[in-house]
Amino acid sequence: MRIINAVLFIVLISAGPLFSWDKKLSTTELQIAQKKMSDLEYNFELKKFIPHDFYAEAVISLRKAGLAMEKKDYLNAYYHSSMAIVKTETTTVVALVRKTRETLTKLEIDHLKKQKSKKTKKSTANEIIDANLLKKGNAYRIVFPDKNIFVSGKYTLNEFGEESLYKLVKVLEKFKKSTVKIAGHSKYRDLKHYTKRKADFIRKFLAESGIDEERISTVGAGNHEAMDTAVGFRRVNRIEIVISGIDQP
Amino acid sequence: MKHSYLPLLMVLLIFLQAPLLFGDDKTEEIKSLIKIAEMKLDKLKKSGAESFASEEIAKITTAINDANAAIKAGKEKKALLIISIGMAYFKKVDAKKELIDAENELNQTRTRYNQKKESEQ
Repeated sequence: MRIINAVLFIVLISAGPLFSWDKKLSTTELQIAQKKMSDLEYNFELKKFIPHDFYAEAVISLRKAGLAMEKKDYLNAYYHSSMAIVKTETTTVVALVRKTRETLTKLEIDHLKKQKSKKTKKSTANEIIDANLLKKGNAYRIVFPDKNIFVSGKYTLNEFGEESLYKLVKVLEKFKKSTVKIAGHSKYRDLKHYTKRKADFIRKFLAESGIDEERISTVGAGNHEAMDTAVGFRRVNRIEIVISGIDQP
Repeated sequence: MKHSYLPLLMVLLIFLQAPLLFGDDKTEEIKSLIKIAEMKLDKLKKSGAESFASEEIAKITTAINDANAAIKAGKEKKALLIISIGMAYFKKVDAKKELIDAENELNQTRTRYNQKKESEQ
């Protein structure tokens, strides 16, 4: 009898791995689901496009899988993990769809704005006067305070900013040998990198509007240069654009 | 005295038959789910979805085969779970199709605007 019991015990012990197959599969599936979910959560480019209903479903499936694992219900854990994987993948694809659609809408809006500015340009007589450029020595200069051309709190051009820059684009298109120097200035601290980034943003806009990038140079001036305002010399958050070479034949 | 056992026996018989009856219903339900999945898969294949969703189609096919095998082996619960996972992939295929449409539209618009720009210059 003892021998039979011992044999049965050995058989049961050796059969253990056979029963643990589901557990291994479920654990792997759960790990894949968790990785996919964290990849989606840390994808900052897609974060604002994630559809909340799809995302919520994926999160619920993942939590159910975790609970089933705790209860050692491996079949259900496998099922919920697999569902979490599919739902996370679907959420990612839907977020990509939304991102593509937004890019398309932005492209169309930009195109319409450019068309509009081109129409206003055709009606003007003198591009330099239109662009409000002031002559100083051999160069023409214009200053834009940040609050006038940027949307507050963001580095996105507002309508006035875009219109003003399109007028500059017209001048640069007419005088092909002219060169542009864009300087960014800050108010409180000597933020060289920040002011350079601001200037680079304007350069990018001009380049996208069809101006050769080699004609444009940028400087981050920090807060070293004060500006002559109505109430004396003040440090102002601004962009200064100097165009030289307009008088060249 | 003999008559008093009759209702008890009837109730017992009904309870004994219940699992069999419900079991059959469940099997039919799962089979109909598998049929729906097969029909949807055929439709997808005919619409040429294999060009962009071959991975998903393969997974759905595997799920259908596995669910059929599980039903034959009498594992109804497993079959139901497997076919449910397979069905979830249809949503992903739809999303992928939409993504391809959106990308095509974006590319077409870009090309159109660039051509317009070049012709103006």
